[in-house]
Amino acid sequence: MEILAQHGFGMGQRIERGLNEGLISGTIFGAKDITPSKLAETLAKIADEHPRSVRLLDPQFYATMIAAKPGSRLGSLMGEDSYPYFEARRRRDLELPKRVMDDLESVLRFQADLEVTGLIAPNIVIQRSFDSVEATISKNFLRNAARVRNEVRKELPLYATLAVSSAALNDRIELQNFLQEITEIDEPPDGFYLLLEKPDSTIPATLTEPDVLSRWMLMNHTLKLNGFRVINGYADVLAPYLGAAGADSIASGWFNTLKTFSLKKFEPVSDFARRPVARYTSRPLLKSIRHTELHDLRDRFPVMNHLPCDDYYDPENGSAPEAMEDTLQNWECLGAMSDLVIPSDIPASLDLCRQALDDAEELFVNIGDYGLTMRDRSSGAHIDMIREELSAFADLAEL
Amino acid sequence: MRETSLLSKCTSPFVVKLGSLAPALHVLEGESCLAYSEEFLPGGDLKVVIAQRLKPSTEEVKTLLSCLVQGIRSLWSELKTVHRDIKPANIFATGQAERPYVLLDLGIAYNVSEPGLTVKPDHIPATPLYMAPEMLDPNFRDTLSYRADLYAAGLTVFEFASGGTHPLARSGDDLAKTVTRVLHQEPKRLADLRPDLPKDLCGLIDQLIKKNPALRPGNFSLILNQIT
Repeated sequence: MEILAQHGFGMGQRIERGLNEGLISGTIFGAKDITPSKLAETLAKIADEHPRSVRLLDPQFYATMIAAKPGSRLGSLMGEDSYPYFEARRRRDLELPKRVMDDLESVLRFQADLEVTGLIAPNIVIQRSFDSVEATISKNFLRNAARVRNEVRKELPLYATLAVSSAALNDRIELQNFLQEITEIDEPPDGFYLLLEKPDSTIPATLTEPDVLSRWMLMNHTLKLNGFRVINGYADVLAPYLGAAGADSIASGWFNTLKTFSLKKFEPVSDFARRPVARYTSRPLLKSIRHTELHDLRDRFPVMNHLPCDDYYDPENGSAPEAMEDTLQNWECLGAMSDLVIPSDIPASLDLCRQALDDAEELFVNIGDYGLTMRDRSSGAHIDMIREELSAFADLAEL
Repeated sequence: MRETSLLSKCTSPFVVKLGSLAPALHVLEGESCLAYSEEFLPGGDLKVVIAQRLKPSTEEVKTLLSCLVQGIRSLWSELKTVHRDIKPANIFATGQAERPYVLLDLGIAYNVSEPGLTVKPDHIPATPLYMAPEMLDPNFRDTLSYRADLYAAGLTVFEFASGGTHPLARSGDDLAKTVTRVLHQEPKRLADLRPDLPKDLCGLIDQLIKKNPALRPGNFSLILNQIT
């Protein structure tokens, strides 16, 4: 399973270092946080230095529905040196098939001139239900994307964006019907760029909401067994479970807003952003913890990965890494978590994930018995839920 | 009329063709009937072959699956039609190299883009033991596709490959039990009955008989690539 960088605000040298150190296989750039001219320049540079790396652009067309809101945060999507395909759209605009075709063409044509290794088709987020106008619009984008790609740049693989809010996953039957329909498209894309939209971008909601992770896994599994490549954006520590279900790639970035997908990051600001605290992603815990927590635990419990990026967390410095080094460490750990995935053997992969969860649970219990209390985001409260989600997925996939 | 129209339009060699006698309306005992002929095919139906309880080779299993998938693909891609009654008795084993198996009986085939699918409330179309679970849903027209045929093809190939074991059926089952098994029972796994067959081939056939249609591989080229 490939680990990709989910690009966003404040890229710095992260992607360059991630590629140079072999921690990531490529990058999904986010249009909002890079101007078209800078994007073209960066892609050309990466293509030159890392010709085999994956290079994609998420056109972030889904933000088009928010664009008309006063105060919406659209970065480079609008304004000077912005993306020519991006305009504010209302749902009623996109109910017109002609509008969908035009938007597909302008988004794909823009990418076709870049040094990308594949095209990502635009789409909107299905927010409420698979039996909705939004779902119909989304299907229109999915159905027509390959046809438009064939006119624009046929030799590049096409990934259709399929963005779904966790609320839309509630109805299992509608989800299954939707999956059936999109896997029977006459001119299908080569793969899908899956995005699970969550109402907020703090703790990944899939770790606490029932039926979300299992159904997201079902989407991966269904698409994969129907021959599609599946890329999961903003997946972070859910990597092993999505990989077990068939994902080819997962992406994760450096801020919370790049680890969990939410439309909130495009909406007007409702609260103040806090300075992020450096974290350490622990393969034994299957989760990230604050560097201060790592500092307290590292000599007492086997929470470290024993991988090269561990060196960034110097105990002499309170186990605090330098800027951006926690991003590199996170990618390294996500890559290490891939050892829980046995390609093409889902039952065996699920068994490995369950065993890893049991081991992590035991570690969390030992930490608790010692009297150390982890913060909510670092605790083992998610383990039972993930275990249940794996079982629910096995049932849904009829394994 | 629907059946003769489909037979005349489908180009696949793995779907039976009309015979030389042109379709014509006749009045029999006061009722108007359509008379038509189908081509002559040598051999016999697959049900008889399966009844011999032989253990076919890998190549023989692949050949049957390939013929059925190609026939289903033609019906769908050319005519947007679901056969709806694929079962051993509706497959002819010809013994001919170029078309070893041929799909028969499009009597209840359904063109999803045409109106007029009539269902009598007291009558289940198709054969319950080979009906895809979604066809037992009263609203099945909303989602019915070629995957229902792939399911029935999967069951048939399973039965053939295993030497006569149906993955769901039990002898003595009545209609209600059969329907319950179709909807809820986990099917047997082919590899348990034929461990000598390639694991990937058994896995593909098992995948075709999943209850959720989306879990059945829906990409014809991919299926055929996996077979060859």
